[in-house]
Amino acid sequence: MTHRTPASRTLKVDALPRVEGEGAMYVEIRDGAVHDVQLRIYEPPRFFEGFLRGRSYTEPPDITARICGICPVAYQMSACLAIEDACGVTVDERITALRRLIYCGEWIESHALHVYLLHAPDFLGYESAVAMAEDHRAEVQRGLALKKAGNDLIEVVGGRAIHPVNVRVGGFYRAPTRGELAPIAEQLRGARDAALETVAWVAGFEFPDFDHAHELVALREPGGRYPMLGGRLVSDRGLDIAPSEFLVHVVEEHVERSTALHAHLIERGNYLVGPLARYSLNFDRLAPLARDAARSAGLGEVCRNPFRSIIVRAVEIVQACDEALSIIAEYAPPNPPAIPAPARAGTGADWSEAPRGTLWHRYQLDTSGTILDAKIVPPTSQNQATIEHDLFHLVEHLIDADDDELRRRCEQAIRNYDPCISCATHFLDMRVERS
Amino acid sequence: MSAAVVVIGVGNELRGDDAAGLLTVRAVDGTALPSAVQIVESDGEAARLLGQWSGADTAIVVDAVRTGAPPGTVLRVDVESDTALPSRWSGAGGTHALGIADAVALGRAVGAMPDRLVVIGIEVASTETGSPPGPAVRQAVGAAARMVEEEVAACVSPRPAG
Repeated sequence: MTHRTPASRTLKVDALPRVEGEGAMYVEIRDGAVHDVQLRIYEPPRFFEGFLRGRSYTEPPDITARICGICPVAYQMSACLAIEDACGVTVDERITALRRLIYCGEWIESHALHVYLLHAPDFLGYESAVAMAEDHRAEVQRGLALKKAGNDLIEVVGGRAIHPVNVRVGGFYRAPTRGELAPIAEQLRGARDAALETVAWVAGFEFPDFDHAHELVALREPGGRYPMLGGRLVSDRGLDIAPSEFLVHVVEEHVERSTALHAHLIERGNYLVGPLARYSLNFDRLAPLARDAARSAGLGEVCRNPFRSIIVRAVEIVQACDEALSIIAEYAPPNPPAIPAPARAGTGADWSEAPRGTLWHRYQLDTSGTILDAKIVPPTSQNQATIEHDLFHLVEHLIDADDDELRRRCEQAIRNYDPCISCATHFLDMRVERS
Repeated sequence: MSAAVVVIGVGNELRGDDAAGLLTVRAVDGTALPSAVQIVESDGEAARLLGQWSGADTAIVVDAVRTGAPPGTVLRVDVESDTALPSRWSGAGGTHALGIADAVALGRAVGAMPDRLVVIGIEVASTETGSPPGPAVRQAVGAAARMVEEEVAACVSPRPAG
């Protein structure tokens, strides 16, 4: 519904399409100036944190996996790492390799979904992936095949493509054999080629000049790997903290308009997690193939243009395919597939890099392993203030644009961050009021 | 000769009545089905649905729906090549922006549809996070499962000639 007068207008959009889950956006323009921009997020109010209290410490990998159908592995990995921290155990290299392998599957499927079905239509001027597929059938087929390769990899390692059942505290219930991984390696070789084609394809899109100055925050792993499991949280402005220090540096505050919490770095303000930050802080950790793909796509070692995040995601698909193939080439099944992780009283915290950014978990256990307290900070809540900040400036810039154009560009700007609203939220509506 | 049939239960177990599709396929008597019938569970995400049904002769998708009918009502849509599914066709308003209707449109655009698609919907009351499925849906699951079994039987039996 659109009302328009010379000095004031109200634009209401009932749904923001192509964002995982739904939420709402509100823009208020007064006397030709942007007065307020809010991204409203309706989170199932910390339901899972309450749900976990009183449960056994072995349950969070399965329970939290159900927070999101797109990044269940991220929830499982952060949960396992945090609980293992509480138990005082560390898994061996082989289990870590298998964890990275299943996580690569999730990066591939999540990024392929976003690049092809959610984000590319913005750049090519289509209302939806369906409309785009009419004209770009081969590309959409390539995207679906890529996504399927990621799904299949998760299924081979995790036992199931959604909400994998094979992951447990300490490792896995069962390790796949080398023979079971052979067919997926074949599929991943094709996927890696498709990922390189994806980088070349999206690099040809047109990108607005829009660099932001947000503090970039991502994990940095010991051992020289591109960040995925654990490590320290670092930024381009000197942040360098352990998982147990997260809430010393990050404050989550309630904002009236949202049931999600807004995260800020104390005395530093809003910040950005996700592919742009991960890439910019870990360019040196990319596999040579991914680094070359990034360079040939015109990306520098740091990328601050959120619209170009589509290229970064494509580069990370190359990275994930390449690393998965390396892991499979050197694979020896962990034996046993899980290490013992006996319960003890204490608190453990850790994080991992979900496709959308850093996902932090913390659990407090009693001596019998019953969960006394659980805390989960998903990437989308961390980025929410930053997304609003970008939207504010975008609306300022586009203040004379008509309502349809404004809505389209705002939706695109939100999708730049691939907000997983099902992690952090529920239904998305958009409303612009001009008065 | 048996046709390749896939039965896909769609839903989210942690969102009340949205579990309807999952509960239904679990209530289907798998031992009575021919081996060419595969039963899978899905979150209903469009690209995943395409992967699950492409290559099948017949796909039977069971999902929670909101059409305004009394909760627990079971309905059936045979999706022909030119019929559109209701745009609001999705469990719980979707854990996802792209649901079954999008999957059908996308599948048609890229040639990833089964030869025949039947959608069985179970009308929901509440899809609140953390609540168990309500009585109307729990009661409807049996009828929906029998409908799936009949649908499968009709697919795999030789059809009368002419």
